[in-house]
Amino acid sequence: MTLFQFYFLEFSAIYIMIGWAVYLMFRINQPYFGSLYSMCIGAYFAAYTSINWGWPVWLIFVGAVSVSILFALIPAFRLAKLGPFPMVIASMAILFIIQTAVKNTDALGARYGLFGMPFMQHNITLLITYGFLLFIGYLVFHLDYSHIGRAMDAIHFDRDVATTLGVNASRLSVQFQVISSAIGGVAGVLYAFTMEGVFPEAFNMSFMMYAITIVVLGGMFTMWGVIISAPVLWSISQFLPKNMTGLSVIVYGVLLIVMLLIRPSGIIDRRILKKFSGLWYGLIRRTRSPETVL
Amino acid sequence: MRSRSNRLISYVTIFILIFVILTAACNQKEPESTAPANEWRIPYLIFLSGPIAGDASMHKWLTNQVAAEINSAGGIAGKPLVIDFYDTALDPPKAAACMAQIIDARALCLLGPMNDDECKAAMPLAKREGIYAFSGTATDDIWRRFKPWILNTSGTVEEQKEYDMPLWIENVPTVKSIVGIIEPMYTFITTVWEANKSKADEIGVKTYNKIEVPSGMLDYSSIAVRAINTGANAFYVACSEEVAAKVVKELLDRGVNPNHIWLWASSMGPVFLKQSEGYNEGIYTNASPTYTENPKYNEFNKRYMNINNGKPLVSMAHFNAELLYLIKEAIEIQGITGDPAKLREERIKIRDYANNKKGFKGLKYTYDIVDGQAVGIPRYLFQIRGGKAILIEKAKPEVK
Repeated sequence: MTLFQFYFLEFSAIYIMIGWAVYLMFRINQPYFGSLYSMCIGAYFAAYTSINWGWPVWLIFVGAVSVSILFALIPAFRLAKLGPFPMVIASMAILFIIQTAVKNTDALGARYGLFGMPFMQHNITLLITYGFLLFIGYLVFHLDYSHIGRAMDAIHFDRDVATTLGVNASRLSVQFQVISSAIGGVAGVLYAFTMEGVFPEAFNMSFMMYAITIVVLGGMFTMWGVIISAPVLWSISQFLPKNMTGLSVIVYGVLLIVMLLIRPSGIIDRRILKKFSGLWYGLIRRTRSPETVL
Repeated sequence: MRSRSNRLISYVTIFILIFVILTAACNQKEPESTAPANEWRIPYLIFLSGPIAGDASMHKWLTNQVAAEINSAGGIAGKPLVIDFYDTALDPPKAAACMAQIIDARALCLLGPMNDDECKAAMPLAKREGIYAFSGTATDDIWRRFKPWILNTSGTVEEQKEYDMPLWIENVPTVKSIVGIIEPMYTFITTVWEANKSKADEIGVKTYNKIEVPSGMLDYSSIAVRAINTGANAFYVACSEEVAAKVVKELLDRGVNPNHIWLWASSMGPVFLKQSEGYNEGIYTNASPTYTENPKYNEFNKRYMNINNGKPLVSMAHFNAELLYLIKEAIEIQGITGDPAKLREERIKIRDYANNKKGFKGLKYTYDIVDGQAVGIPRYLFQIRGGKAILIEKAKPEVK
């Protein structure tokens, strides 16, 4: 495997994770970016504990997820009651506060960041990353296709009606904030190990815009779109011909506009998913019971 | 129960399919190690897209000009030079991926990375893989972290500190107290401000804590008011050119003496001069987009101005482009063959040559390189007069 293949596979997986973390909160109409600052926390936690204390990788994951959840829980109960717009502002503000705090903390390398993390073999990194991706994907899949998924839909379309139907929107929001932040924490640790270091500018506002674009382009009502949009968006400039690389932002913008004009619901919406799953389950049924085909 | 197992099977199958598709999508052939190529391909890690891509386009243009000049004079060791541009879009993961592509392509060395963030993202990999980065715009901070695999020719903080503030303060004795107006576009801007601040304190000029300027504000009057309210009578401005033009206007509108404004190199360039037209007279700076000690640079600048409506190159445009001359020297003097079988050894030879070079003739001035850092770079004090930066004083730091 070439180095580029490793980075492509690794970052595709990390961005898919972050896309799912953001997607979960979009489903309940609360654009919350706690997963992004949790990613920053996770990455710094991994860098600090591996460089200074020599923690083993498994302990770093446990620690990073715990710290991310803890940070998420502090504002979670108040944030849970907010509408979409205040939620965006509040989580942007928290992201900014955390970035500024990191920039001014000497123990975390301040503006320069932390470097010199132990090198993790690429195949091991990929194995861990895709293991987490499989697990997180299944978690999101399970949530999507359960009674919680239906509650998410109800909240998305009308929070008040959902509440009168017995859905505890605030509790669900707190739970999702925690899950979303835990995913962010995992993505942060993987990010730090992949980059072999971490620095504050990696988690700025353009990173947030990028995460939003992944979800909007992929589709806000199914988890599958993210799997296409994250690697495609990330790799546009890498796959463009050399003399066109400077145009990558234009290609990116045009793609976004065209998508929003012709498919505002994203690359994969529920209609497509229904058609696809009809074909898919038909195929499974045929494979399992050959007599029905006969 | 049946439906749940169907779902699980579907999920796992789709997941495996996705992994296979992703792997196939990035399936590039590994370059084969055969005979040396019949051209020198030098990759250049640069942000050709993204928020400040405009600056990079000038670096790209000048690099292409220098490459064309080298090729017209017979290339490097008789083989033509080709520059491959890798766009990082100023995105750290992309910068790391570009470095991965460069290493996969088995490049001998590279030009760039250009920006601090690109360096932080891409250099850990370069250092581990042992590929030397000719980064004219790498800073002191970056050099410390990634030496000996990176070159810093933008000058040491120590030399800037010793000359920049003292030249200004000696020429304008009415400067009694200074506040920094800093747009932290990259880490080095703040590092240099802190060094200059400590030097000003040392020579008895009072300094105040910096005022951070956010990028992209519509109105910068609040920044000017805050700066004036500190009680400082002089202002150190280190922002992007557009922001500097706005901040300077707000300061002058509030009665600040233009002699009491000093611009750091990032603020001084054609965009600043154009946007501050009519109200920049008398301002001091340490950079000029047109001043050079080498007539060759003037020729490039004139050529650029001819195709860009009289707009000159930015004052820092020469940093990376001129390093092509150093690469040429390193390859020719060290007898580099480009043979893939000797890649590791030849990369080290190039590194060792570039890290210690006496009297390197850059595009604007001549300097020495000691342990991978350019030293003895002339420090200047310019004053804007009639819309041009006029040289007031020059100092040549002594090489220890």
